[in-house]
Amino acid sequence: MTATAVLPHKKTNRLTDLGFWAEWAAAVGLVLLVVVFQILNPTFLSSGNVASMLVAAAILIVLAVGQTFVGPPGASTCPSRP
Amino acid sequence: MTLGAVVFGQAYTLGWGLVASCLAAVVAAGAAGVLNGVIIAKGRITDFIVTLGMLSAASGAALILADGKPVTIVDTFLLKLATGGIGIFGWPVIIAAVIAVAAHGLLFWTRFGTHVLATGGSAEAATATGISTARVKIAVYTIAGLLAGVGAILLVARVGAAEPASNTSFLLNSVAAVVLGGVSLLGGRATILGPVIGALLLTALTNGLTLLGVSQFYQPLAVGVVVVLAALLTRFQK
Repeated sequence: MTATAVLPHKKTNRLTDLGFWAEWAAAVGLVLLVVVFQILNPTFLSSGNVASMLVAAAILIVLAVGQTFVGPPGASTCPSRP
Repeated sequence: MTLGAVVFGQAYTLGWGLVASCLAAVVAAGAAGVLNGVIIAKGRITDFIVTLGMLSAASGAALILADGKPVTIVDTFLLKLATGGIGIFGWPVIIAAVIAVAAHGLLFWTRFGTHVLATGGSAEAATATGISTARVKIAVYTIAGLLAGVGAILLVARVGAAEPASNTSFLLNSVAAVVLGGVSLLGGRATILGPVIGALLLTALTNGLTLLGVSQFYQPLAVGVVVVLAALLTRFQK
């Protein structure tokens, strides 16, 4: 909101722009985790493990999509917040 | 979701059949969502308190219904649902993908979706432009409830039983996935892809830690740290 708009965002270099990293935090974090885990344990990206990870994530994805509409607790639907 | 799972188990053991049991689970969870939405929208109470109360009430109702005991469900269709699939994509993954795409369409390509984002951004401004924010709030909580019911079915299929006391990790993790996905804590900003990536990240995190032989006691700790860091990062979003 206004508080974030006041923050200086004058730099045009994307790599030093925190906003850019904040925008893609989840994707960058996921890629980093996958690379680190794959180096530490080569079975991480085996098709069997990827398949079981996807199935394990499926329930969480369904729930998270539902949660998205509501917004995080104490956030968007709180009527007292402008 | 626990309530949905238990209703599923009870309906199934009563001989309702699979389809009716699935419907019962979705309807029960959806009803909890409607109740949440109505109380929040009409009662003008902070959502956090209402959902916290509903969490306790629904968990209690699940325990009462099931008499505290898990119900084992052996069903060939559910077994196929949990284990089968196309290639490396299991059926639950395909269902989740379809739901995510449908949710994306609903949120960004329909008038209702625009109303949801407007209500989240500024309820007062949304009201001023003629949007019934109360209806929008009831609708979003109903959607969340219905999807919790779908999640319950997938969980029962995966575990092979309906348990009245479990899955507390799903609560924090689904909120965590949403925060990780960059859905604004101040409202009005959301993507569907973000929370999906967030959910994948959390799953990869716990799976990877397990593969490395790290005790599972460390998993909630790791999830907590990652989520708070992600929330801090969202402060810098444009």
